[in-house]
Amino acid sequence: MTVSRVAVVLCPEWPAVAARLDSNDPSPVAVVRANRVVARTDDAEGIEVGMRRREAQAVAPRLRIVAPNTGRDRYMFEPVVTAIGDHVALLEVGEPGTIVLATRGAVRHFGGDAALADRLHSAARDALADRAAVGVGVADGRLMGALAARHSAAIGTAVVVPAGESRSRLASLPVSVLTDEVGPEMVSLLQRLGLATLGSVAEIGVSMLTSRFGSTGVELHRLASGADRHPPVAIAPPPARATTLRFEHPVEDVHQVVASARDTVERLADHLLTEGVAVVRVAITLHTDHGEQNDRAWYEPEGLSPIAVLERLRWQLESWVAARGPTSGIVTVRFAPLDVRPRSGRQLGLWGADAAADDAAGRTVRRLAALLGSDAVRVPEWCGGRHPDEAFVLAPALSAGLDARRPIESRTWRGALPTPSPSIVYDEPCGVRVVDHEGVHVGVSGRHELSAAPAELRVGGARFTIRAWSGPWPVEERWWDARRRRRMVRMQVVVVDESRPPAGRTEEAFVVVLERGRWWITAKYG
Amino acid sequence: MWCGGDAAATLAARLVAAATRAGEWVALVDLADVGLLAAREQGVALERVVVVRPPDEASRWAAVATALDGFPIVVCPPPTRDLRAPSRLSARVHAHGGVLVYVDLHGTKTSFTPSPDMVVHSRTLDWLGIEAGAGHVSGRRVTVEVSGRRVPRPTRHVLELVG
Repeated sequence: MTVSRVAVVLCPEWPAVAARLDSNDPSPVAVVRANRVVARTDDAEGIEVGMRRREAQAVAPRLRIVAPNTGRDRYMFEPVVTAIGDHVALLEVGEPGTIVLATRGAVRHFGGDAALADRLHSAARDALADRAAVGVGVADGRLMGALAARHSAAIGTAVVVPAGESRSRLASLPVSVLTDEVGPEMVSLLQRLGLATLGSVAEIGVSMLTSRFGSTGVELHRLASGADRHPPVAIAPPPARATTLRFEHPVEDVHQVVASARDTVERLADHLLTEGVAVVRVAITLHTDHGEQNDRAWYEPEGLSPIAVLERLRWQLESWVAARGPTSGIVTVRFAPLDVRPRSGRQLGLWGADAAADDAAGRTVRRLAALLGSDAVRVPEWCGGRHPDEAFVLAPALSAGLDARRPIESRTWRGALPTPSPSIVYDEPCGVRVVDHEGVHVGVSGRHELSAAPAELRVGGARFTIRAWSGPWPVEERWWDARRRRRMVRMQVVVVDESRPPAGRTEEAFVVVLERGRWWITAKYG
Repeated sequence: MWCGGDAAATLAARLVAAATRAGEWVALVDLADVGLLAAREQGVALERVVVVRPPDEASRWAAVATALDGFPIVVCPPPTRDLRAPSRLSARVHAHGGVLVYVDLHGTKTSFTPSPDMVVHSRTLDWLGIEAGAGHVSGRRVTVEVSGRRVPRPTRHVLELVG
């Protein structure tokens, strides 16, 4: 297994750091998507990625919660990309906060891995004016490179893993370092199977892993052995696959360039589709009328869809314009697929629908994503959990690929509410009061008994009579973790509004939750 | 069509369930509060569901119009501000032979023109399986009224719903 040597420049928790740099507000920041923390600054104590919004606010009241914003993440990262770009010919930007570059040519120029790493590290630090942590790691393969860079950000100096040592170093690391690559469910499964370290995963061998996990098994083995998740092709893609778009007159408008490139990119994608491959790395080269040139490579391990390639083109153009690079209009745009991989069963990203219905739905999803942003179009994936809003996560539809949709399995979850499940689950729970006949707050004892029979539900000024209730059902989560433990009780209540005339009264059923002394309506049987 | 009243979400899920199991795609537009677990229990094949979350009501209608081009069934909330949106969309619905379902989760009860081809209104009579401090919600009895422009004889039924 040949592994390319790479340097990785990485700013940990970049979405949160970028949000703080953008605002000049020094308080700790957490980025929350779909009610879950996806990134947090290092001074946000007790906050962990994956926490729910309400939980995070309870742990750290000073925490500033912001919505994800890819545009901001890219814009704030641009100085780093520009600074690194001054030192190497072709760099590759994956998600904002991470730059990967092949060290081959640069090492010769700078005289060794260590010199290159130091140079890149000081360039990145200068670009950020020391306002955010940044690390540089040089190693074999992306995974070790990223881990080295993460470590480097923590200790403050560049980290070089000598050639050939990546595999042995990885072997002793816990499987949890793969969380970003394969997801927390797979990590937890490996742990339950008794595979605690990457070494133990690699030892099992590729055939065993494949028979157990299918194509994911191959990826697991590659990752655990220090290789990149997807094998690069043995030979470079033939240049015939690269396509160039030429404008008759120089084009100065970014939108116009992107719009004109659409046909070209879709033709390229169709062409690759017929060959049964997906692009994971593409180089985009721009030329202006005055002969200026801008190169950048873009990487997406799940495969780049045409719309994703166009998005990258727009980012590249915008950042080049922002850096005052081009002095005249664009005359050519060249797309060169650098790495392709075979389309697998888990093929994501490139749309190749068989049925006409899937095709129409796929096209429409792309248009919706263009209209509203790719984050706004999602598909449900089973996740499991005790709360009705945890059962499914919504994954971006563009990267999930509608053609690869398989029936969604769900299981009953221990500690979940009894079925039928509530048909309305509020995105933002609503604070209420639950009181007894005397108007006194109903609480729950340490043995999960109600302090009194609940009689009334009060929402703002409105009062609803409680006709029936069930529970309380205690829920205790992560009782082993003092900071993140959550205790609550849940009840079903059937209420009626007795201020209405009898003919207009109907009984409504809700799920109410008592947590930290406060009652919330979280769901409704609607 | 319009789906409203006490059991709007459950009935809407029942209505689209058979189509999704037959392989048709459904877009849920601007319905952040729909319980997907409950929809699944009503028989919806979730692998055929795409969830669209436009940032505001203004972009909701552009999203619905776009979704109608490729999805045979689109489900969205009824308009609260832009009451002319349904009339702009109805031509598109008929052109594609699709179905647009307005599901009224929060009892907004707005009226608009053209009035829907079909209106399914529900009212809970009583809840089953739950008492003061015992049992849990196992189902309910509802009256369901079906009416609308294209329904010559409105009908009314009492159903026992699980959910």
